Amino acid sequence: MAGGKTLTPKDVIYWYDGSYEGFLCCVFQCYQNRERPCDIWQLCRPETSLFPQTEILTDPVRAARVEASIRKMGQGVRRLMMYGFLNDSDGKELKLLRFLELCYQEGPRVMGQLAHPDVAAVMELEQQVSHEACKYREVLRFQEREGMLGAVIRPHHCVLPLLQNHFCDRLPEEDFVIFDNSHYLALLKRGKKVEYLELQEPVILPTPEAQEKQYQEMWKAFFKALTIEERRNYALQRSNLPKRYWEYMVEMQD
Amino acid sequence: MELLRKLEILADSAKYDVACTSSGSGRKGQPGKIGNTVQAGLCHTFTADGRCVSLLKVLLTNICAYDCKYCVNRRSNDLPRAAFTPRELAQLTIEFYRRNYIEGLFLSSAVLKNPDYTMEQMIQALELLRGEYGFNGYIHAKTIPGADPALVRRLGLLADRLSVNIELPSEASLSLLAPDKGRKAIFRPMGQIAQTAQENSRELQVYRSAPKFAPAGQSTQMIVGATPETDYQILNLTQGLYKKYSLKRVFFSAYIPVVEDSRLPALDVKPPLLREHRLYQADWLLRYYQFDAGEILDKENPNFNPYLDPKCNWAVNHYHLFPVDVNRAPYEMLLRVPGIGPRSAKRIRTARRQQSLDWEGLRRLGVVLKRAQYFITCKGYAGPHSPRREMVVRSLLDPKAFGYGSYQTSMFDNDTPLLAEAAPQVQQLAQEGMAPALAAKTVEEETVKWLAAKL
Repeated sequence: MAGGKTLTPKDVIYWYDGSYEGFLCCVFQCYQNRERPCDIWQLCRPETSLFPQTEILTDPVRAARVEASIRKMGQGVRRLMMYGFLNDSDGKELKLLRFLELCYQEGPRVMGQLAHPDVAAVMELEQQVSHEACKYREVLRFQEREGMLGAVIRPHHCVLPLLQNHFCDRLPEEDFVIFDNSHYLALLKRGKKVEYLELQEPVILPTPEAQEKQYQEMWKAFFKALTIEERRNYALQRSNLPKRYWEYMVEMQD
Repeated sequence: MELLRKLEILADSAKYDVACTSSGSGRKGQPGKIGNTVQAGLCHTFTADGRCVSLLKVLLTNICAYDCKYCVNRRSNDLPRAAFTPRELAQLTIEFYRRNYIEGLFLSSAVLKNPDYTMEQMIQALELLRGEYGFNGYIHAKTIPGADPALVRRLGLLADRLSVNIELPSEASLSLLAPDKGRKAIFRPMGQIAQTAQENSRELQVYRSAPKFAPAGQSTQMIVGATPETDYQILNLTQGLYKKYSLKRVFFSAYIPVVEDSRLPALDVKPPLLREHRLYQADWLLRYYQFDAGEILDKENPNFNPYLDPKCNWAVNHYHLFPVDVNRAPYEMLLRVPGIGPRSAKRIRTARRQQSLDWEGLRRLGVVLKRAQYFITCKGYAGPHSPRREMVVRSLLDPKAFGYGSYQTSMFDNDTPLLAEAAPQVQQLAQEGMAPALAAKTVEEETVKWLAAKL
């Protein structure tokens, strides 16, 4: 890797396939050409920009070289890059690229420069993702069908990989599937095997079986019984649990 | 009786127990079992009163031999009664857990026949859950005051956290309102749990596989507002509990009148929610901000300022110590700056090793500059230029105390009702017929003047 070399801004747009490896290949390309593109896109949109657009092909060998260079910076940087990449906001690629530039200049001590704009930007990306993943560990609701557990989520960021370890460790003897309706991705765990599947369309969970229905009713009754009327406080409830999470929560449906 | 109906009754009876956390114990899953625990705990949902639901919080039974005045489950109260069988409870826990509704079980019970008998029933239920059902998730169990120490030990080996409720903040109140529970019956198990936990940690140093005794420690709770103790007394007691019994948490619960009794506040008294909130804030200062109870309150000021959180109150009373230089001040001092919490203080400590921090840098670290600006200096910022004292005070006021939270942006809308946490004075003005928004504004202006004069 061209460590320590600086990039010069250039009026060009990169586009890649949207995978992490693909993004690492964009980084490789930047350093090969010594240029920093003005934007990095996940698809080609020829009509929307005056700047020339370059397609960056995903090459596992190049990706592995960049990955190795990130590994050298320590766990902290690697985590920021991977979690930051799961963020689904626009412009994350440029933020990550700028952060990586700083890493190559400063080395592992970059993790101490928390107030640096490029570091702070990536930490924000990472925090949004971690926070949402943490929230979904809590509010995700499984329902049972023919002995298998299934759940649907609709997260802003691509949090499925961050749910994998948690639920596999927690339910080692269960088979389950989690559908991500905003990224059209599913996490399937069968026995000890875990795989990711792409979805063609959003998943709608079927109406629950009789026994499942019973447990849902009991959970709702329990939830209702716990509320203390004298302390009713919807504002607090919503600030602790924003409404966007309610969609697939059993106890929030009437 | 149908299981659903039982669950309703026994959850309703347990709802006044505040401790619903699943923290303090991190344990990996095991093949062949179900469940793990997360060190920081998880909150699976929030009820309409805004409280977190983390555990299946139920009583084993609400059939009680005691007659404690403040308690809904007292013998003399006419209430539907029920009891779970151990198997029903285990099954329910597992099925809820699989569906990711809960982190585990919070098991408490009314006193059925006598304390020992009750504890044996609880142990039986937990043994079934841990053994036959292979449950490896979180269990919080409540010990019954007056039970045999050998039973407390057995319960601790099954549970992650134990708790003994001290119920009321002084012995006098206790003997007045809970004549069946003595002070000894409460503090003896607490001492025993603390000691057993200490012995257990030594055992674990020698034998890694020794059975763990309540790895998430113990907690307690007390009712606030039913009896005449001051905040200072309560806070001192809290600090004592942390130090003497190494408790993990002390919970407070605002008294909600459930019964007409000459020894208790009248039925129309509102629960002191703001006071409870201030106690929790002070509790946080003890646990995470290195404050001492004597710094937060003292004999001359035995009660909290309703309009400021305790930390801002301290800053107002010690205004002469500020501003501090964020690039040099010790960590302990950073923690005392309004607008800087443990998280941003730690970040400042890390970040300033490599470069000195300026205004923008602080903002990026998450410092709340709206409040901190009057109390700090940093690179390129020499502190406030003789700020108007009213402005300093205004930045510190707690909006909750005036009845509007972050969700009520248009407080001047006359129909907006006050938050339940609004300060007693605001509530009173509103009750006397003043529009809520005007009442809030009036009290706010007076408070600003009063505090500014103090500064």
